Amino acid sequence: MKFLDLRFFILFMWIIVMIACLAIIFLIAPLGKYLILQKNSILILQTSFIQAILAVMIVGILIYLLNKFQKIYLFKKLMDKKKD
Amino acid sequence: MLPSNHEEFIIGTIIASVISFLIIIILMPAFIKFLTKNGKLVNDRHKPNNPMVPRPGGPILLLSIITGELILFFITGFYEIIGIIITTSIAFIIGVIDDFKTMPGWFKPAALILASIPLIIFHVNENHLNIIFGSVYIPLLYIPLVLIAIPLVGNTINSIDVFNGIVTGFLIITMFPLLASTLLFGKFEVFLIELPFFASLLGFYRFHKYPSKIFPGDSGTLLMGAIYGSFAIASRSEIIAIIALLPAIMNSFLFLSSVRKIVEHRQIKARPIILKDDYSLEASKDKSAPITLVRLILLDGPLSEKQIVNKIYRLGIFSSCLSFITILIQYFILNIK
Repeated sequence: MKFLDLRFFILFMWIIVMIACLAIIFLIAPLGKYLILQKNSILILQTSFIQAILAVMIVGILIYLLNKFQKIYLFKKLMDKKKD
Repeated sequence: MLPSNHEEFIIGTIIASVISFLIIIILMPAFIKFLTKNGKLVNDRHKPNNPMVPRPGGPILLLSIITGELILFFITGFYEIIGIIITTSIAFIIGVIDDFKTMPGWFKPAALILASIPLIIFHVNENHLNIIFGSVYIPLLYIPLVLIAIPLVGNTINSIDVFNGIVTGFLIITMFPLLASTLLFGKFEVFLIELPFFASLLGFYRFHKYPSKIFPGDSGTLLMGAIYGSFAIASRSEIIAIIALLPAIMNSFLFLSSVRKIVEHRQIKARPIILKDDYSLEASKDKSAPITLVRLILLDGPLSEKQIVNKIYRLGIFSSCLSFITILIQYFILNIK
């Protein structure tokens, strides 16, 4: 599979989705375990808010990486076309 | 795990799926005639002589899906089906509005938030989000996630409806990993309720494949996206569905990152592709034109409509293979645990 193949783009997206899943497991899942034990509704709300902030940050990083990759991919693709 | 009366459920599912399929096969030709007679036709611009094609096919698609799902509801008593039916119907109504009146770009995503509410009311989602390497307990966070998921999937599916048969064929391909994931990690009832939709898609593909006899319209694509998203949530297969839909997500991402705002594609003047005299298509050189999946495909050289459709199907098969690899990873991790 060549770098300029569209399947490579999809493969890259898959890899970052899997990395995001791992990040969620390490960052958000422990907070979830803490939530199960909680009875205090304010603490549940606070923990959910922290979970939301972490999730937004992970998605933000994911979009940033994808945007960077897209620019490199398009640049290489257009250069390749010019060579042809 | 199989419920005790699973044989009855399986027979009911087979009947519901056959009825869903037959509704499309029997009623669609008459509906095509009805739309043609009433002048509900649009131009198929990518073909010689610009043939007029009836639109929308969404009403018969909805009828077929609802009939199948209601049969299953009366057999299984699985009340989440009602939530999914309401969500799909609201998405269909939003699509009908957009079919007959060009709405601003924000309309579809904003209105689809409304469509996701029945999923929350009927508690189609669980409190644990399945994320391949384990699950996360997010009882409150799941609610905004559902409210975001349906508009995202609905619009993503809607955005790939650019050529004959793409959206239906692509969804048929991506249903395979979703069905497998539901069978392995979801409730058995959810697997059963996915089958009438799959049968409807197969029936509709007969009329939508290249060269199309009918277009689904926004009413058809939004309802397909909404029900696919609902099944992903109900079967705890959100990540598997995201991976299967990667080519469509890539299309939306490329479009949004180049246009930098939520806008209705009909409102963009610079077209991403150019139709040549021989009816082949090539990528636009206009810098202001949005970047789309098709424009990227055409950077390698001009292609016919049918060749582009096949390329997108192949990308769908590739992303579905990645979905199956992800299912295997999740299966082994679950077994190790």
